Amino acid sequence: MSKNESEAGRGSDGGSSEPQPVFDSAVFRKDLILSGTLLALFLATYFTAAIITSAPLKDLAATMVLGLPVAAWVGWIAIGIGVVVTRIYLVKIRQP
Amino acid sequence: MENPIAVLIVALSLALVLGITFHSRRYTKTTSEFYVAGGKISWKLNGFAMLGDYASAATFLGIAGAIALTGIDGWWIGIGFFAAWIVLLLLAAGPLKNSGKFTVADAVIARFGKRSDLRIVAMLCTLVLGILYLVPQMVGAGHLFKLLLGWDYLITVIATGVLMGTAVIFGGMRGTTYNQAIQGVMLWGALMAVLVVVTIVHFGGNPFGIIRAAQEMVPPVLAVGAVEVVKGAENAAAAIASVRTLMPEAASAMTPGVALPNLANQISLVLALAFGTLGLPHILIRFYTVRDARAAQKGAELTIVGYATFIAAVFLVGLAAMYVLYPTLVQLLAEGERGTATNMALPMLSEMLGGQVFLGIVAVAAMAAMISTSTGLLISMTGSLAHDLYANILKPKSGEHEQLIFAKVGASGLTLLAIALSIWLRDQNVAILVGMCFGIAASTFAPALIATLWWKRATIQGIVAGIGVGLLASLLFTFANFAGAKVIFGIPVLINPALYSIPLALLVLIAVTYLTKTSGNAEEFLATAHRKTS
Repeated sequence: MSKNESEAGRGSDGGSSEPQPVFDSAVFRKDLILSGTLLALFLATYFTAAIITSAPLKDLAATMVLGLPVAAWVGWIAIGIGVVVTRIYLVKIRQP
Repeated sequence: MENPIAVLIVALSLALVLGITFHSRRYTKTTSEFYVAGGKISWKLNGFAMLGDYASAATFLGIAGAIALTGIDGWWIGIGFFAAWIVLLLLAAGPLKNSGKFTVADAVIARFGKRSDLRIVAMLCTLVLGILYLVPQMVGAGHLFKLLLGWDYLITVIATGVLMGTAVIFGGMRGTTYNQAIQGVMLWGALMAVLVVVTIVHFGGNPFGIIRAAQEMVPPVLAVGAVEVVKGAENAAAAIASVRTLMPEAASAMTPGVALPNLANQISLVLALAFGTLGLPHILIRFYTVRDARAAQKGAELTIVGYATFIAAVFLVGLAAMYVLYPTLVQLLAEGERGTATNMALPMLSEMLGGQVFLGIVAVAAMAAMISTSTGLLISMTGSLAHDLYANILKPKSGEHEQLIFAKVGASGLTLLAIALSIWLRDQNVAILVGMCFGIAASTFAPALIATLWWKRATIQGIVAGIGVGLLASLLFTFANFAGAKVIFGIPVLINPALYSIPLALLVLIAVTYLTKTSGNAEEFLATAHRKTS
């Protein structure tokens, strides 16, 4: 790797002054479980909403709930779950 | 001049962009400053900049227009764009920033070592994606100002392209970041202003009234045959009622299936949108402009919250545009002006609500969306060109200044190429071009990035093969769609290639990985990528 390449874009956390971290399979697994679980939760909501609002299920999408069609609710719920998942993730990764 | 006040507002906005660019020119002397602002951007500024970068012309004009013509199906493009940020945050933001690289190829090479085949395939993907994503921005700008301000399409495209190139060449990432942040706030503010005003003026201040009205409307794309009835109506409400009387069994604006006729098309589109952003270089590069992984993640959260409200609002604005502009939209469709109807619904609604001032503000926001996205794309493309091609393949011992000159010349060349393509593709639908980019990105860089950051067993051969097959498959199905083919190799052609090309790319990546053993410095790289930052 050239000197220029190593300098450019590394930011302060990519320098050589910090000790090289050691791979810890437990830490990696914890990261994987956290990201994987939250991703699965969000994608389940997202794809369920997408399926409900597809052409074959248009009658279900048109069902009225609390004065609004299911199609509108599931879209907003997917957005809301996304924001909640984001918050949970950022809180969890700050925990030791 | 057709709209002098709107022109004045646009001119002031352009002056602001150029002023920031001029002020930032002193901070582009090193490659680090030019590409990633030396990694010194705050997370708040970066969050707003990502919002401005991501909310492109397709989002601001395209989604509102798609909803205005087809109803709820058009909203899924927006929800998909939003979902992509969650995927990006959970899978890539932190590990990528921790790895300290500023192209996807760099991240992969950090783990597997230098490979010219990888750099070439990654650079090709970056340039293909960047140019194809740049074209709809320029095409959108050309049509916008041709229609709103009476400017000639050709002149507008050239002027927009030159402005974008100038902003990047002289302002670098620092200037681009400030411009994108301001533009992100402007976009968000303009959309919210339109929503508030239209809700008060036309729906008695009740936003749910928009959805109730939508349940009665036959989407304009289905009402084209009733254009004579629409022409004879006194106002929009009367036109909507007349069409519903004429077509009592027709779908409403809240009925799925108007734009996406079956489940396969729906899933293919939402799949591409959810994973496409993982492979978009102009978004990934933004994570390198901040200090550490925590700042990258906090910036992403700000973008997610801003974008969530933006997408929730655009749904209502699109339906409101359908209601208020109903006769205009049906007539435009009947006259074969679908491009105008689908891209100009939001500006037309704004002019109707607030005259030239509102029109000018929305035009500025739309232009801001195009310029901020385009400058982000240009800077990532020049980074890949200079870094992957020049510094690592053509001239490995080149100096920093030499690379910077190459990057700036590259920016000029890419701008000219994009201008030429935008002139050639002036009649293409911008939403199709953007969706195609997401499908290609989701089939190439996205699987490679996930495997590099999360799969210890992954091999470089698997990653290169996955990118190559994903690129070929996604391009094949995309251009088959452009050509109007219904079936190729016995497989139905969908609105987006993702349903075929993502699984194929993943399958090849996994299969080749299990046939090979070059996993690189897996433990060392993963330890760096997943280390905790305080």
